[in-house]
Parts: sequence; structure tokens; C-alpha cells
Amino acid sequence: MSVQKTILLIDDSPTSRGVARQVLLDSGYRVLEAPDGEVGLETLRKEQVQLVVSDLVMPRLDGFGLVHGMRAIENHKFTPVLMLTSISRDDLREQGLSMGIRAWVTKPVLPDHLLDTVKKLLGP
Amino acid sequence: MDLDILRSELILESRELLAEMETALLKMEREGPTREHIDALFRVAHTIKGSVGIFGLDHIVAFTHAMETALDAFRNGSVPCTGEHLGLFLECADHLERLIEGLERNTPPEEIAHDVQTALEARLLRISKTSDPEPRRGASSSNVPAERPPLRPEIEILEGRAGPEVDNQAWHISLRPSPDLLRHGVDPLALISYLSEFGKVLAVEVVDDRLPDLEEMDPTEAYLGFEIRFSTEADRSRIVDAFSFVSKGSRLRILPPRARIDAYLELMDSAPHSSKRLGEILVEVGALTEQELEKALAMQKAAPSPPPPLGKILVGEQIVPPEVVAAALDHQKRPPHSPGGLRSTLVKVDSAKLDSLIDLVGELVISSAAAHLAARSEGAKASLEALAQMVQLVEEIRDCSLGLRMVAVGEVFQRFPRMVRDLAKDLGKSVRLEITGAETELDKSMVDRLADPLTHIVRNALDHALEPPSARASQGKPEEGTLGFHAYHQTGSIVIEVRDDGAGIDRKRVLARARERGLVQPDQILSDSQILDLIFQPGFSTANTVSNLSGRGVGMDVVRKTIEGMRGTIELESTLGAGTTIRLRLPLTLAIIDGFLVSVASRSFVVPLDMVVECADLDRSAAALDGSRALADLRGHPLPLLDLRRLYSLPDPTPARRNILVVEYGSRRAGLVVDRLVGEFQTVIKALPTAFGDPPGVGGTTILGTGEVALILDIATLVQMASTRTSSGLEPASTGGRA
Repeated sequence: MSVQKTILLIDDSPTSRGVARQVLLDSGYRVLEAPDGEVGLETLRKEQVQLVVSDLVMPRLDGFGLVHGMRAIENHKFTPVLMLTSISRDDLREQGLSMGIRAWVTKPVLPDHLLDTVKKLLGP
Repeated sequence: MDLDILRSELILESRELLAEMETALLKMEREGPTREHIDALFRVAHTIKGSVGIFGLDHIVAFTHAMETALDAFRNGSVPCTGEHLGLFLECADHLERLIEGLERNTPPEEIAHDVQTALEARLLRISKTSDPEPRRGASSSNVPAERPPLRPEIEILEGRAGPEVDNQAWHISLRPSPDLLRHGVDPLALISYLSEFGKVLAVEVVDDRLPDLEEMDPTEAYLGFEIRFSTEADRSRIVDAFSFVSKGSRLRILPPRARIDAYLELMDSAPHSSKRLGEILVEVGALTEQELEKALAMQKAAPSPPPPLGKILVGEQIVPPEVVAAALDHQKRPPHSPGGLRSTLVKVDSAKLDSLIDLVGELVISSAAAHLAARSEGAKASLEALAQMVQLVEEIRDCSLGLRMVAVGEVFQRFPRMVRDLAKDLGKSVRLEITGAETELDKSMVDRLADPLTHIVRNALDHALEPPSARASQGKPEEGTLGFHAYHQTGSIVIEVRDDGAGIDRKRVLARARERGLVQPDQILSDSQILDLIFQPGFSTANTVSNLSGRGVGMDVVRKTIEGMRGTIELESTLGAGTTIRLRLPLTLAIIDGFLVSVASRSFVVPLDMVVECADLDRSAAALDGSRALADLRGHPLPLLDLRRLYSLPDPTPARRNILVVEYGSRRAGLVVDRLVGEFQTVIKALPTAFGDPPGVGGTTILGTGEVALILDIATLVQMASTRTSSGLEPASTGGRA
């Protein structure tokens, strides 16, 4: 892909964000970051982003709240969301699906798995 | 990836999260558990678990997982959260702190209180075990959608059973996306290019039979289908997996290499109106040869009715039982909450970088002052005007960059709720903690250095000052003692008060103890403030019993030293039976000051501007200069004077006209006798080079715009010197006070 794609990374844990950031940058994506859903939404209002990679459990505004909010932003009605979480419960995934969250990656983030999933959504 | 850098990040992050957890727990103890607080605890355990998992720290993962599971039982309401549980979680927080510390020191996990962890995990497990495994409360049937949409797209793998094998080594993938595909954020192009991650896309043909006229086209709808020939060593599950985000309603058919010809037939039959066209496409992409296509079409004709779906493997939908759980729904419905505390978006910067920035800003301040001086001495009007604006900007930059080092003093206070709780429990006392002004900002380096002295003061207050409930009741005081932390700004300083309503300081006992220790001569008579001052003497302790909490007599003198090391002072006020207030007064910043420049015998001195009260002529007749000390009469008030010429043994001749710079520190004033008042001046404090020794009343040095070195005067010390010299030498103590 010749056009660099932008990924917004939202996670309250700098450590997790650090790992994900490194993996994504190494693969040539442009990475924006936010420490919680609220800041994430602010970023989405200003930026063109092709994929949102977000933690589910966060202070202030969690992952579901974020997706709910971003669907109200004209540019991000259909932007794909990849949810990172260490809670693996089918009910959550199902709820996510109804909000258009298609991809889940289980924490702790394994770099290869994350990257593979991102590539499925964005293309390599 | 550099995990080492991330590791130190992890330690920092975990500590912050633990502090959050502690705050929440203590709040819960006071106000009772709320959903919000339980969520906060859960989030902490959860986030730490996620982060340590990255590093494969299984012992911490296991522990945080146990915490998380127990907290989840509270969250879904199957177990009520009680005070006993809060105690357990406080212990867990302590253990986590130990684990993080072990991480920092590279201690092997099995050496970190392993038995404690096992015991805690067992207790946590008991909570989650009592949890009700039945569907969680609050999941009412009305919340469950009547018809749950399938999770997965329709995926078929067609191998075929009849007819010859098609002679090719590639997979054939036929994708008909649901119209919603794009709206679900899935880009078909991304999907197809993803395939090249594990194989080679040999050919792609676009099927556009559903494409409407331009006017009817909805750009958010997916109209195009794809026929893909794909060569890979990977197995079918890998291919299926590649399409896992394709939304429901999409149709994905995969034909393995060497599938039988009827598999292709079925593929064509599934789109009757375009089967001819599809056949052509299959030839175009190279899935079939012309001959194979013909064979297939002949088979189709031979069969009277549509062939049964032979050899079809449905990969299909893994239907998950419809279950919408209260916790998840609650999540969605609840408005975004903002837990106590201010919202802050933080950027972490290495403090060394900040220091070098501030150093540079300091140089900038000096050089802009030099430029200003030069322009003024040359009388260059245009330059002066241009410089005036620049000086303004430099000032703003200075303020901004100093602001970067400022942190809320609450950062130090944070540790006290827990400490007070634990100490009070151990000592059988009941104490309420009051904190105001936690948002007051001061220099980061001061915040770090304040932790120890404040801890000591708190321990003293709990151990010695605050009485047990019964003793308080008998004195008519409320059984619960109060310990207050109050931070605020006051004339260029930051004041931190620690106030208790305990027993107060018994002067008689202090004096008796000081005599016993030989700190005071038996016949020596001391003023009240001098008696209180004894507490800060090395080797003084008033507690009758030396407890293990505080008071081996090494405390308050160290506290004072630390505070004075920051150019601060410590004051003590105490009323017997009513309580004690310890007041720490600290400078706003350690790096740059607005100063007032004065000179004596061509030497320059800088006085911090916020301590200058006024300037006056030294009227020789009004002041009797005796040695370096004297008293002036300032509008009827006595003002102790300090002659800098004498103090620093500077050469004569004394000019005919001299000036007094009236300075104030705390509530005391003094007049500094100088030759010339130069004016306001902004400057950077540099440490006094060791070659200078330790002259009295000098707090640091600075470099003037002219390149000359100036001494920054330490007003706290000078005021102290002026008033004690006066009170012991010339006048009774009463005149040493307020001017």
C-alpha cells in the first residue's frame, strides 16, 4: 500500500500502548495515541484515522463508550475498531458486534497477533 | 522492541495505578463501597494484569487475575462488598507494591513473600467462589434482542464429489460481500491484500453484476464481488481466518486445489442469472480451463434438477448462546464517569530534559538582561523598544518552563490517608484526615524532598500529639482527632501546614527534658519561642516511651535541615491541650527568582523581590550603627538593621549616602544597609561554588548581564541574624519583633 494508514491507539496503560505503538510503527503505520476514550474522541473529531485500536477497560470513557461516541462523528461512522482486552467473554464480544466492533485481540498483546489482525483490517 | 525502556514505564505506571487503588479503597472505607469505586479497583487490577502480561510476569498476572476475579464478583452484584473485603484489598495493594518493587530490583518472584501471595490468593478465591454462577442480576429478557444476528459470514468449502479433479494447484476463493461490508469498516481491498501475507494472489476478477446505475449508487454500500485465485502452503483454516471480519450476510466460498469439477458447478449454480458470466470469469482467473468449463456445463445439462449440494462443508456459524450480561449492558448505559480528581492528559518527560531546558531559559534570561543593559547604556531607543517586547516574551517563556516543573503538592499528600489509617489502627486512635489545597503547585524536586519530613511530622502527630479516644472524651474533645494538611500560597512562598487538635506541646516537659539532656543550662531563662525551638535541636525527644513509630530523637532536627535545604523554614505553634500547627514555608521555585539588585562597595547582591517591602534612606542621625547591627526608627517602629559592608567585611570608604532595603520574612522584618539600590532584576540561581566556603546569609550566586558574579542573599537567615543580634545585644527581646 503506498498510502500510509493512520491508526489511533487508545489505552490507559502506557506500557501496553508502548508495545502496540512499537509494533505498528515498525510496520510502517502512522500512529496517534490517546490515554482514554474521551481524548480518543477528541482526536477522532480532528483526524482522519483508518483504524482505531482501543482498550476496553479505561477510565473516564471505556471502549464501548468510545465506539458509541465515534459512530456519531461523520468521518468515523464506519471506521473499524479493534478492541484490546484481557476480558474474554462472549457476551462482551457480542455486544461489541452490535456496535460494529469486529475485531478483538486478547491482552496481553502479542505483537504478532496484533499486527496480523491489524493487517486483516487495513491490508499490509 | 526495547522491552527495557517499557519495563521502567511499567513500574511507573503500576505505582500510579496502585496509588489510585489505595485512594479508592480508603474512600470506600469512609463512604461505603460504590459501583464507581469498585470499577476503579477493577480497572487497576485489570490494567496491571494486562501490562505485566506483556513481560511474561506470570506471578503478577496470577495475582492480579485473582484480584480481578474477586472484584468482578462485586461488580456483577453476586457478592456484596464489605469492610472486611476492603481490608483484604488493601493488603493486596501492599503485596502488589512489593511485587512491583521486586520487579524494580530484579528480585526473583519466589523470593517475594510467596506465602503471603498464596494466602491472599486463597482469600480472593473464596470471594469469587461464593459468587453466584447463575445469570447475573439485571439481565432482564427485554434486553436480549429477539433475533440474534449470526456472528460469522456464511463460509462454505466446496470440494466436490463428482466429475474429474480440476487440474490446478491453487485455491479458488469466491467472495460476495454483504451490502453492509463497507459500513462495518471492512475494506475488501485490505482483505485481498492481506492474503499475500501467507501466499500469492494469482488473479483477481471483479464481479460487478450487482452494480447499479450511477444515480442509484450508494457509496457506502458494497456491490462488488471477487473471484480470487490464491496459491498458498497454508491450510484452509488460515484462509477462513483471513476473512474473519467479513460481516454476516456475506458469502464466502472456498475451493481447495484439485477440487472436483462439480464444486465449480455448484459455485456457478449459486448465481443462476450470471452463471455463464461466472464461468467465463473462472476461466479468466485461471481456475478452469476452457475444456473444464465445457465439461462442467455439460454435467449441468445432464442433471435434470439442480445437483444436490455434494461435498459441501459448512464452516458456518458458531452460534454463541444469546446472553446479554448485566455488566456489559450497564457499561453501555452508564454515562462516562469521571472519578474524583482532576482530568489530566499527561506527557512524561525525563526530568533531566526539563532541567536542561530551565538551565537554558536561565541563560536566556541573563542574556536578554545583558542586551537590555547594553541598549540602555547606549541610549539606543529603537533597540530598547524591540528589546522590551523580547524581554516580555522571555519572561513568559520563563514562567511557562518553570511551570513545567510544577506539580500539585497533593502528590505528597497522597500517601498519608493510608499511613494515617494504618497508624491510627495500630495505636488504637481514631483520626480524621483533612486535606485542603492539594492542588497547590510547587517545584517537583521539592515535592520529592518533602515526603520524608512530612512523613515524620505525621508520625509524630499520631504517636505523640493525638490522644486516645478515651482521653479525648474525658477532656471534652471529640473522640475522633483531626489531622489537617493545608497548602496555600502566601507572599511568594508556599505554605504547608500540618495541624492537629491533639495535646499540644507541654513547655514544662520540653524544658525539663532539654535540661536533662544538657541542651539548656539549669539557670537559663528562655522565651516561649526559644522553648519550642528546642524541639528542633538534635537529640531531643519528648515522648516518655520511645515507640517504634517515631521519636528516637533524630526527627525534628532532620526535618528542619531538609526544609532549610530547600530555602524554606519551619515554624511551630502550639497551645497546650488544643493542638499543634507545624508550618513549612517554601519558596515557589528553586531555579529562577525576581530579584532586587543592590550594591555595596561595588559588589552586587540580589535580594528576592518578593521579600522586599520598601526602600528608605539611611538617616545617620536616626540609626546608631554599632558593629554590624543597629536599630532604625521606621515611622515610629524599631527596625533591626544589618550592615552588609560589615557583615561581609567589604572595603571602605563608606559613601556619604546610604540606603536601607526593608525585607520581610515570615512575620519578621529587617533593614539591610547598602550603598546603592540598583533596581529590579530577574535572575537564575546557581549553587554557590564550594570555593566560596559558606558565608552567612548567602543562598546562591548568579551571573549578571555584565558578566559579574552577584551573591543572592538568603533573607531568612539575615532576618534571623538581625533580630537575634538585636535582641541579645542592644535591646530587650520585645523590640525584635514586628516593625
